[in-house]
Amino acid sequence: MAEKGWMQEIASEYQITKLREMNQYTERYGLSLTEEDAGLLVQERTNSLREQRRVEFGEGILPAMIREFCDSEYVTQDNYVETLIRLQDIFYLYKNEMRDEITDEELLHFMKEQFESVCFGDMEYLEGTCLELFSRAIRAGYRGHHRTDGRGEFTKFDEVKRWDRELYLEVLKELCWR
Amino acid sequence: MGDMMYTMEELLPILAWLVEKYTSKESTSVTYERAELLMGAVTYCIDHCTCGKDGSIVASGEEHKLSAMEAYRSGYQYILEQTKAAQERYSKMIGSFCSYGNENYGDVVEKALPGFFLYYDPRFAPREHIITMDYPVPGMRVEACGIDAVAPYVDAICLEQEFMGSLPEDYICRVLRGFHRDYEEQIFNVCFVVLRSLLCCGLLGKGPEADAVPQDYERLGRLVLNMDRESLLTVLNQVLDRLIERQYDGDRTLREYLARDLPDFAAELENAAEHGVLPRVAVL
Repeated sequence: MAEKGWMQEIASEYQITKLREMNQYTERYGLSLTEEDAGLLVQERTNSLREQRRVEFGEGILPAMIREFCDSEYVTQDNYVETLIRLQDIFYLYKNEMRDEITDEELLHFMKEQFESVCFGDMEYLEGTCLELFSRAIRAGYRGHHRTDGRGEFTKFDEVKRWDRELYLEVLKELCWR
Repeated sequence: MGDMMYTMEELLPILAWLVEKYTSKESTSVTYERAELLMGAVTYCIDHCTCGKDGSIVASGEEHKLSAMEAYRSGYQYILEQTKAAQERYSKMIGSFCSYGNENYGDVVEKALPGFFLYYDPRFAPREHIITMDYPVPGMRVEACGIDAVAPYVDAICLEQEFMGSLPEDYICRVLRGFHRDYEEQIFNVCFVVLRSLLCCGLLGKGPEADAVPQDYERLGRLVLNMDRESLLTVLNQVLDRLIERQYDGDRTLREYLARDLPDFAAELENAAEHGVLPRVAVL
């Protein structure tokens, strides 16, 4: 078998072009990538894949990731590239952690849902808590995410008692109507 | 990459196609380990392409070099055909298969081999033959894998059954019991123990069903020690030829398979005769 370097020698021009084409979709959310941004993302993709010992073909996960996260209230033009780089790293890491027992779509849906809700845009929390708990469940044999497409899964594994609507209203009433 | 000369640039698109198939387009990436296994699947199929070894075929007087994908598809098709043919030979044999009480023989042929045909994956893991083939069969290529390992193994089992099927079952069981009192639990090639017994009877000019007497082993020992290795091998081959002609209609394929044991048998006979332990090598 030839050395593993050959697996990562995919035409980067194609990747950059594909990423810049996504601007047509993301501009409505105030997000766009320059040529330099796209080049950086492609380079970081290569690094991330190498670190996670994965190989990717075709247009890769970035276009799908951009489509999934571009409407996030926590992603702005200022942090767009940095967020994508971090999300990409987390994505490949957890594809490994979940032993490829989750499709790309399921994992992206899970990540987006938690990023918007429980994590409030906090990457550390997404990586260190939500995904960690979920991956543990998948390694233990959980496969319910196939039915739900990765949505609404975290509540089954969340270890933190969080606010629910009734509790919130009760506390609000107590505070406001004392 | 075997004998077929394709560059990595020619193979990569096939790998990409196979990865897409493997993941059902649900994942854009796979681990290095998975990619290596799938590349192994690609090269295994290409190596089985039935065209010329340089990738060329001659059609209508014009030479045409197959693309890597064409070679892959051709090889994959060949593997499918080989697997199907092996399964058909197995199915034909298993109806009358007899393990003569040897558990390992029975387990491998009746349980393990069906597992191969059920779970063998010629598309994504053609090199994996899944089963361990614990029943020893001589002449198998150690480096063979996938259907290349199993097809000849099935053929060997079929030939053994053909050989032993024309002998009385109680005779075979007596020989096996004489070879090892707990032969049911031992791991050895049943067929060649029986063959060795027949060949020794042939050497002595004695019928195989006649009871052995101590003088038989003494005579055998003298006979063996009076010949050099080459002569002994020649005589064993002659006895085998007579056996095949008389009992098996001169079946060349069966003869060639059974002859695989003769060099080892000749060496073991010589050694056993020198040390006075012939009963350990052949049952009379």
